[in-house]
Amino acid sequence: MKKIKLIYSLFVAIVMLSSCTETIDIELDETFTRLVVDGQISTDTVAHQIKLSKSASYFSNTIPPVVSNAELLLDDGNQVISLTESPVGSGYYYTPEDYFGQPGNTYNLNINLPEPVGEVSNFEATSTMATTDFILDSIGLEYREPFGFWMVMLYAFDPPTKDFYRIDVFRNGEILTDTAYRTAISDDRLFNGNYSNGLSVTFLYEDEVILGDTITVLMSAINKEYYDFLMELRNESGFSNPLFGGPPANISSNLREGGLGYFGTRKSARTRLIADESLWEEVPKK
Amino acid sequence: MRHAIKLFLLLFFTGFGVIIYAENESAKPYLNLSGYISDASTGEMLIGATIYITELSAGGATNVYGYYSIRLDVGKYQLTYSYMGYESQKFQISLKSDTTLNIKLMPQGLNLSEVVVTGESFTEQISRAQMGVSRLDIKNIRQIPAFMGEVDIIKALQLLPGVQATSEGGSGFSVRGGSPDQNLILLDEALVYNPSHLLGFFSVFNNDAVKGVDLYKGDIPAEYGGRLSSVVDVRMNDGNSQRLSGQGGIGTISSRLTLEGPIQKDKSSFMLAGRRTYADLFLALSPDEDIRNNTLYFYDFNGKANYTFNDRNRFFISGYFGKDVFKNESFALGWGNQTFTLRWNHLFSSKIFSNFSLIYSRFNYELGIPEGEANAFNWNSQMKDYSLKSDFTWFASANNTLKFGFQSTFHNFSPGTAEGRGEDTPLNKIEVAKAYALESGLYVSNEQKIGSRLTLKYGLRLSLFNNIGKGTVYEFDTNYDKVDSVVYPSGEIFQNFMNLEPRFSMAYKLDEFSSVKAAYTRNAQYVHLAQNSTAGTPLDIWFPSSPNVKPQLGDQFSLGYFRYFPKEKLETSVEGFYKLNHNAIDFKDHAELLLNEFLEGELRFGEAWSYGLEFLVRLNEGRLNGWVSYTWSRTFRRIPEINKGDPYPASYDRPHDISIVANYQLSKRISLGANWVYSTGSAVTFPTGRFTIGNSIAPVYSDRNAYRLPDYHRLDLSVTLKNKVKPNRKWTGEWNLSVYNAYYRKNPWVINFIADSEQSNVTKAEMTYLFGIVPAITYNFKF
Repeated sequence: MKKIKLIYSLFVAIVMLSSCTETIDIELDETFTRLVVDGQISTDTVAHQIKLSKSASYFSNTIPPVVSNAELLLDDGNQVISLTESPVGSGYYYTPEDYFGQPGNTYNLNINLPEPVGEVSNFEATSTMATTDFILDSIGLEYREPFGFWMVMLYAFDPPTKDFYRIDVFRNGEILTDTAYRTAISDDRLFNGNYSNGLSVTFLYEDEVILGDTITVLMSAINKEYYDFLMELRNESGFSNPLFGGPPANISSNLREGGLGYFGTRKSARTRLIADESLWEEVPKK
Repeated sequence: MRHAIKLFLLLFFTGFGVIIYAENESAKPYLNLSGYISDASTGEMLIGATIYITELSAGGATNVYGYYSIRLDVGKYQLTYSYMGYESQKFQISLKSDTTLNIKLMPQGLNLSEVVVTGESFTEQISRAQMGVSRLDIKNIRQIPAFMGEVDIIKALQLLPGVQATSEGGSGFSVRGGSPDQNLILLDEALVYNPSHLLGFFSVFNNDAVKGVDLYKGDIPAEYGGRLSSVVDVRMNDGNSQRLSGQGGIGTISSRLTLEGPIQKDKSSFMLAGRRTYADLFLALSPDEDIRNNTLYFYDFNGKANYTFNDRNRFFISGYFGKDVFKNESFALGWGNQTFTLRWNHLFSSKIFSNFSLIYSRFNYELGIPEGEANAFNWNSQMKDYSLKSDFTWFASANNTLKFGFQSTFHNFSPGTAEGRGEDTPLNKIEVAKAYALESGLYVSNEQKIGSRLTLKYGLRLSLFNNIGKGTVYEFDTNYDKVDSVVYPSGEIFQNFMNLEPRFSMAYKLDEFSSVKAAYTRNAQYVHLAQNSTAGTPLDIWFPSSPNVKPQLGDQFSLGYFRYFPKEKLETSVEGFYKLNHNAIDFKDHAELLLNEFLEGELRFGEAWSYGLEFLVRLNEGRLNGWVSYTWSRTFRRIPEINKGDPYPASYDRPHDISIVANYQLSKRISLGANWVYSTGSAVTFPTGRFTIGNSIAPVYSDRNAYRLPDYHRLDLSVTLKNKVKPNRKWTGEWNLSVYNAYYRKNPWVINFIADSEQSNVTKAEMTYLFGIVPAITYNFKF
């Protein structure tokens, strides 16, 4: 929850007043390797990407090894399509470019590996695409002086159902919120059935908005399981602190047979804003 | 249930019957020697002061109100009244009829050569059938070097064997492997739900306002109930009944002032104490403007008044009010405890002492973003109790002391309400339903001496818990998802729990200076804390037992050997324990506890157990005093849904724990203090593997708590310099200089595993430690 994150950061600020941080050597046991899936099917008409890689020991400190030459079959209830690796050897697999997802459909991904990972060579994951009838109206940007960053304000209608969202922000087509920490995820408890009326959903650093930029917000309705995965990913891949958050726990996965990562689905909408002079009226001159 | 109440009442009255019968059987006309023991200079009642009768090699001790009563034959006796830090009084009496002797003891002067060494107090303790109890007088606590110079009862308790701080500098503690929420913390009988200030770095107890503290960690007497692991019984000063006096201090982090004095001499007195920190002054030194703009402080007030109506009736009224404030232009957080106690001590006769109390206690917090800011909201939560209590002590015969009584508490839970601020707020209101419950206890216990060597204490507590409407009960399926809900109307009792809690202990004197003791106790706990973190945050949510949450039950077995070495003046003890906690509560992975209506769906139940051995050597008198304690203990939990159902060590499982506390009186004016603590690092979960999602590196964890933080150790030092004593001057002052973490040990508070910001695909471990060397200076005064 956003509020908790805010309190968290303020507490951390107090603690940091007197605390110090340094790198420490820790001996960790090795762990066995598992298959990792990362990718989603959305309502956009594009080549949807699924990445296959392998987990490694914590201090392996190398680029994660990819899994090539696998056979990926996507069953959307109407047809079964095959994903192709491109380029071969990259671990990235794509649907055809004219493929798009359908809200309410259940997608089943079947992965057949050329050789087993963690003693398993056939994996399956299933995700049902959310049907949330949200309307993304517009976004706003507002500079927040005490923090030195831009608040991204959301204007959207949320239906009365219980819904979950993921929000990504792009600058001139380049994703800015590309880590779990920055990807905005939210349930609708705070604005269920309402117009969100400028609720601030995420932030951009001061130098991430330059006059003339096109800032695009991609808002996606997701299902509860994918939301939980994103939430857990965010909590477990960031800083921990004895004051907040419970004991560490493994991130869930919808990959059956003991894999890691997530095969997700999202119902997407976009809106954009051109950064013009009016945005800087409130910003103090330096 | 009705059956069990009947059984209890049967036992209750049989107990009485047997004793009354025994009383009538004895042909000898027993006489009663009773009275109050107080401090001669302030009139303050002394808790646990002892009376030793040479002819019987036995005696008694005062209760928490300073009252004692002993049954004796007609005859001549040599009596010794003593209390630690006070000059003993010895005299001969010839007892012919019931006698009241109110004794005033003089505090020991600074003249060290005059110290009278008395072994009697420990001899008395040796023969008492009470285990696992530690009494710390505020005078002893003041001698321990304190963090930031702020003398702290809870920090002192953490130095005792079997007590572990749950995090660096925090007020949370685990007693014999129990959870921090299993400690019953009482201030003048009122429950303190959150004893911490400023994220736990300080506790709510102002040392000028309290007499001392008793910690019961093993054999919890039948008069206490509702928590599994320990009772921390803190008593406030009654107020000087002899003259107007004051004390206070000006320190690095806070200032204190206490005023006390008689309202009518020897009849009534008052005490008022206040304390405020100025931590925000330090914030002003920060180079970071965002930090400078924060306000951060706490304050508290203690007040007490008492009135002695006559020899048989005394009234006490006491209260505590404390608050923490943290705010800046875009955020505010406040929390605090309030307690209020009204008591009436009544002597039905010199043999029957009674106390009736009315108690109020509350803990609340509130936080939010002020109106006009983005996402402005307000969030508040509170826990409120009203209690009624009556306790009786019947000094029934020379060999039997009965205690019985009743307590009932009405709990009012408001777990949390959050709502947006301003007219066009986009935020919905979130309200977690309030809950109400009645918790009651009925108890009887008897301390019985059999012959000159054996003392037994046996008692039974019947505890009852009723969930009362208006309340909402959710029904969960096997996946802990909510499937249904039932709303009960206001006033309807929709769930009852009842438990019989036997308490048994015995002491067998081997010789004049040593004894063995054994105890078995069962405790029930009906109110639990949803707190997932190891450090104490103020965002506590207490929740009741309910149709979905069974009460936690605890069984503890303990065995100990106690020995006093009169020549060396050393108290020594070895205690072993085994503890089993049924229906232990833990939280599912990634649990969400705050503002969650379906909190009960986040709970997982299992069992917890711990065992250990505690060694203590304590030197109470003389120029060098203090203690050395070593504890070896383990504590585990097994919850079917956590850690694949395998047992795992609790985070506060710290097998080796050493505390050394020493105070040395160098000269009349200078005393030195030092303490050193060592413990095995706490059990933690570390990542063993990693994988990549998008641009984030995610961990794959080891089994729960399979790793350890580096061992914890720390040395604190202090020196106290007293002003020269001048006759005819009431004002006395002293300077106290203390150093926390004197040899700059970097004790990890947390170890984070993070991606290196410079090199992609590189992960590293980073530790955060809270304190370097923290010096502090305090000036304390008395007048």
